[in-house]
Amino acid sequence: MTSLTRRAFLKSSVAASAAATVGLPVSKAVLAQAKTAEAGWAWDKAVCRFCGTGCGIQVATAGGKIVATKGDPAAPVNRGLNCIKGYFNGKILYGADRLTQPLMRMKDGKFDKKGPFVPVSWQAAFDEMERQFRKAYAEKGPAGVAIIGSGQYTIQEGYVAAKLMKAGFRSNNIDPNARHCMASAVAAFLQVFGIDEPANVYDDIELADSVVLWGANMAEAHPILWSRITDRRLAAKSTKVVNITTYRNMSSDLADLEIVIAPSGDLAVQNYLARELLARNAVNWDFVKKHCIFATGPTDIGYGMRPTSKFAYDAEKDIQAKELENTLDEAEAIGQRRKAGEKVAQKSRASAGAHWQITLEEFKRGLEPYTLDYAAKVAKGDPDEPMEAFKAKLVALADLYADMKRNTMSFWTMGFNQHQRGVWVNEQNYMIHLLLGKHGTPGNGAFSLTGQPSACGTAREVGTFAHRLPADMVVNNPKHREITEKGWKLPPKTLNPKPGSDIMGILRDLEDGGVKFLWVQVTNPFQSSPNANHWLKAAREMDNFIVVADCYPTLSGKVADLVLPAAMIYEKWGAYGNAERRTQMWRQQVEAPGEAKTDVWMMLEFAKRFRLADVWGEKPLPGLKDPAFPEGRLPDVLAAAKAMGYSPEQNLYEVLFATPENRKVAWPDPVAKGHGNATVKALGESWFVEKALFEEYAQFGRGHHHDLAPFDLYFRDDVRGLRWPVVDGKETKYRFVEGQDPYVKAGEGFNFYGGAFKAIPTGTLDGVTDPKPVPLPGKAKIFFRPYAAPVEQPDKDYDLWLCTGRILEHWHTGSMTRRVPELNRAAPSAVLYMHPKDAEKRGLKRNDTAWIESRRGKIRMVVDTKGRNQMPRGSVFAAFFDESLLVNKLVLDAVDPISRETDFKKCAVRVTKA
Amino acid sequence: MNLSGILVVVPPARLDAAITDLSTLPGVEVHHVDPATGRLIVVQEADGVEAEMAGLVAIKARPHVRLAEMVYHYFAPEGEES
Amino acid sequence: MGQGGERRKFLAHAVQGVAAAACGGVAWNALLVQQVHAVPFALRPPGALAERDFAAACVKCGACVVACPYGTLRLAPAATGIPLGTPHFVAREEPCRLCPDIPCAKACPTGALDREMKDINASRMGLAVIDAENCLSWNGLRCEVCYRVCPLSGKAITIDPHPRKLSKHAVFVPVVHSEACTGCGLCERACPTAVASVRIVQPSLVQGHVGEHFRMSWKPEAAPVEASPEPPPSAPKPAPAPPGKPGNAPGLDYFNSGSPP
Repeated sequence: MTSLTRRAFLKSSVAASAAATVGLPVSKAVLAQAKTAEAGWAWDKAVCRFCGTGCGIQVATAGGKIVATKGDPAAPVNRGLNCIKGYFNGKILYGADRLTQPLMRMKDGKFDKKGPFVPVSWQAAFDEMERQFRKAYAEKGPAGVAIIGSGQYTIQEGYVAAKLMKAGFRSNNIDPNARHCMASAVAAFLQVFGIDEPANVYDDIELADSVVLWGANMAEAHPILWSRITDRRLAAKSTKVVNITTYRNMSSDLADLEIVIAPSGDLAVQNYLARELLARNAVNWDFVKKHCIFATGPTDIGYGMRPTSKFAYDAEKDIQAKELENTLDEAEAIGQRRKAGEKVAQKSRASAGAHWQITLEEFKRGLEPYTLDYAAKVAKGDPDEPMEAFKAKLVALADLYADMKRNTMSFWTMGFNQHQRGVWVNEQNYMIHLLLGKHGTPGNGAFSLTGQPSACGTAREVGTFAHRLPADMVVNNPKHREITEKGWKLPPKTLNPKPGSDIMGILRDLEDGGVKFLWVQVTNPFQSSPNANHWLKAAREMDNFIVVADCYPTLSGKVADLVLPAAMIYEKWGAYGNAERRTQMWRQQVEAPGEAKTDVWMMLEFAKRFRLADVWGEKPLPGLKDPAFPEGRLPDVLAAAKAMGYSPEQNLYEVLFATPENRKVAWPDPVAKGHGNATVKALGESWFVEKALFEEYAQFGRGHHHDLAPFDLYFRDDVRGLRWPVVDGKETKYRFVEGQDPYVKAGEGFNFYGGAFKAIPTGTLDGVTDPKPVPLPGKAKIFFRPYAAPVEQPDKDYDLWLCTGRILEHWHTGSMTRRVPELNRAAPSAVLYMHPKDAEKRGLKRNDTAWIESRRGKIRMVVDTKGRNQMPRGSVFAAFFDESLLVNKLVLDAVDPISRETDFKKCAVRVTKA
Repeated sequence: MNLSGILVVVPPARLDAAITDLSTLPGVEVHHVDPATGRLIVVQEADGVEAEMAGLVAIKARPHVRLAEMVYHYFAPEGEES
Repeated sequence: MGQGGERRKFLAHAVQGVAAAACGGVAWNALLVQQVHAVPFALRPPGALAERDFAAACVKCGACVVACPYGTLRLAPAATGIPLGTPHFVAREEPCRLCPDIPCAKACPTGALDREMKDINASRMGLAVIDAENCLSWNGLRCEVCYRVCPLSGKAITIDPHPRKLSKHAVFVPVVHSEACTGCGLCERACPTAVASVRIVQPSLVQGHVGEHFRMSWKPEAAPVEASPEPPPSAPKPAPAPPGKPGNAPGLDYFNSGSPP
């Protein structure tokens, strides 16, 4: 806060306190006073920085500072409300320790990995970055460099990062923290519908009769949506809310039915429900026959751990060995129609996502073991709950789903996505809704919520994943590469066809020396990634160079070699896309402090340092096997580039970003209404970088089911974001539905037109019988996915489940929210929630300090036996926002083998008194 | 920086004149007004305690002012002056 | 407090009836506002005797302050209005953590704190009161921080959802229940508004009393009076007529005064 605003604030506080003390009626006077004070304020619409809900806010600036924010009353998502994080949107910019200068590890005036951080100029920072990048690139080729990005990237940032890496450096090693967050949701969308993102919208909350939460503590993680659900529950007495969870949380307070399940018990419950729907004939056969087919896939897909024990600590080796061969326990054996004790080689690890069509009879045969008795035995999560009571709850759940008269919405987030079988559990919710014919219609649908403000808008739609290209295209599809190369004006075969390393892959690459240059943007992976001890050590002790661009000091910055000061949300132009496909944009409101710069500027400046000759020659790519490419190499495309009019001396900034077309988009632009542009200013250019790049990116989706509106439309005063596809200026509420979705023709009713995985082989539950791909245009897939046991479970040494997650007051790793003193005071440090009896057994009581230890690490935490989360016996919960406690040292780095998303929700620990 | 919240009482009929007059004093701002009773809350900013006391004496000496008393006081802790 | 010396000087020659808050704000109000108590309410350690008895029994030894593992308790300095040297705490700065073993009370040599107290949740240091006008949750924001930090959440503070009416959202209203609130102050400490919108106050300052003549029958604490099948053994006698002087029966003055309208 400047002395000016601080003073003004203090004075009005002093005045208000004084007035209150003497009983002076102030309300009117304060109002008049506030109006005078606000006279010099400029209000503009913007978006909340935090979760995937996408609340609209209004930001007031005066004297170059944000002086206030308010919930935007015109925003349909939140109608003026905010949660406690959103309330502090304006304050997150002004923490005392904002980074304002590049900092590099130095000794004797030059970079030294073992040296302390020293302030350096941008010039010196970029010089060293370039030197280190060239070294890694020369030694390892495109696979030796990487970017870890974010679902908090603006759309333009994600686009620049993806284009620079994929088209410029020809590396697919770019992956967002969204991999940790909703990769499982994406894979399920693509496998079921052939296209990413939900069919439904938030407006369905007000139309739902049953709201079922699966692994989503919406009361804390999606606070504003929860207030809509609560309002619906209060307004329509017949509305029922179900909370399916592994522990009692705040969402249970409203729930009519709380079902505490065991970790991974969800798969058993879902299959029980499907079996029940068939048995009760509650299936919408007309819908299923017209619009769906049945499918399944392999079960021996591993757990996404390393296949080698070379890097494992001794204590980790028993679990790691299961990656290659697992012994079935009784529950898993029954659910997969096999024998308990059978050793199963995990043969389909490399083809985990393969799937094939099966018949309805096969589908029914798969469901046969999932009786009420079986499901209840596998899924009951509270050892103190009587079995019959739990069974009655499952029956009540089936009653709700099977009631054709009830509009039914299912919501889920991290409990499903962060799951060793995350894609499967996502798919099984679509299975239920598709069987019922209740999907994508008003008040009915299976709705995957997201955790980050632009997980959808940027990470998914732009495609900042190791395997993706814009608009749902993928790198290992020749047709998609061709479209992208045309759109980006690249010579054929510039793009690398081999998917890069996902986020866990990049961290493992650091550990085994595969990646030697890493640039981290808008995220804090060394705190937010599981099994942290490995990667912290790799960052500091291996020969590599790690750059972290961030606005505040984070743990990732601490283990990096170069820290770049970044501009924050309202210090740049940007756009986010929320969980209901709503794209929202904002203008730059204020300037970043000191020498902090936008991430877009950093990447563009870096791009200027590389000529085509540096990157478009022949490059080694170990492991590349593609019929169209030479083995292990990316071809030289410089000759083809020359033929297209490029010179090998041109730099990547000119070729990829400041193209003749983009330079035509002039800055200043009337849409700015006088607001500044830090990127353009720092570049010393006169083209509107964010607008030109948005329009360039939007070309990929327009006409291809992903239509975004023209840039300027999002800034119109009466627009509060638009839900894509936006065709002829009109947004789309429900996708795939005739009359709503412009891509569905009259008479079709529904059309699941997504194009991915729309030709698959045929087979049985046990495998493919006819490998010939059969096309399935317009169909959605109803999957059978069996119960699979978690790879690590409590045993005699590590006898408790550990679940990790987020709390209302803090966002992710707390790098922003912990700078707001008020939020820090409200929740200063993470605590370990446990059942009072579990605590007592270990000689612990509330507020005692305990050691928590897993195969991977050990930390100390303060115990809480009551409060917001009430654990069943046998389970403990810890939030991950607290850097000083680093919960992720404990967590297992198993991932879903299809989506490569981490399972943060289940591993085994022991707790002892410290 | 020291801030003091001062209750000033003036005849209600003289309120407007008093507000204008008080606002001319250095470091003084009128924040709240109760027209019915002629009570005002003014905030005075001063560098130190002596200056504050001098300011209060000056307010008391203005025409129309019947009563001026310190009601609330704020000391900026050291290091937060700017 | 770097200006401490100068500040004390200021206090000494400028004001009478000083009441100082601990965090840099000073209110002189005793002269101006009659209804505000001249002696500020001090949050005492758990198990403290009633204020007058406490001040008398406390020998200001500081044993409770030393025993407090969180540094919550402090001895009152001069010129705070709180009897000099007595232990108290300021909730916004460092609230009471409700240690189950109550080390502060056990350390008391005089019984100013109840050494025999067994259940920390039975302590009544003050009462949390929410300023509904400024409370974020009452205004519809999803805050509820007080509820979540409350060591007796669900008992001392509950959340009561209401429709917001302005839009299709609910308002999550925190409500304090005096029968369970210990006055520990964790809520006041955690409240995110610039000035806390939940405060620990002296219960007598804010609590009303319905009176003994009426019971709210729908409330669980008002145990229903069992209807007895038989009439009570002895029917209550009619109230004896007040021993009035003849010619001065109640109502007589009224009936005889003036003339009917």
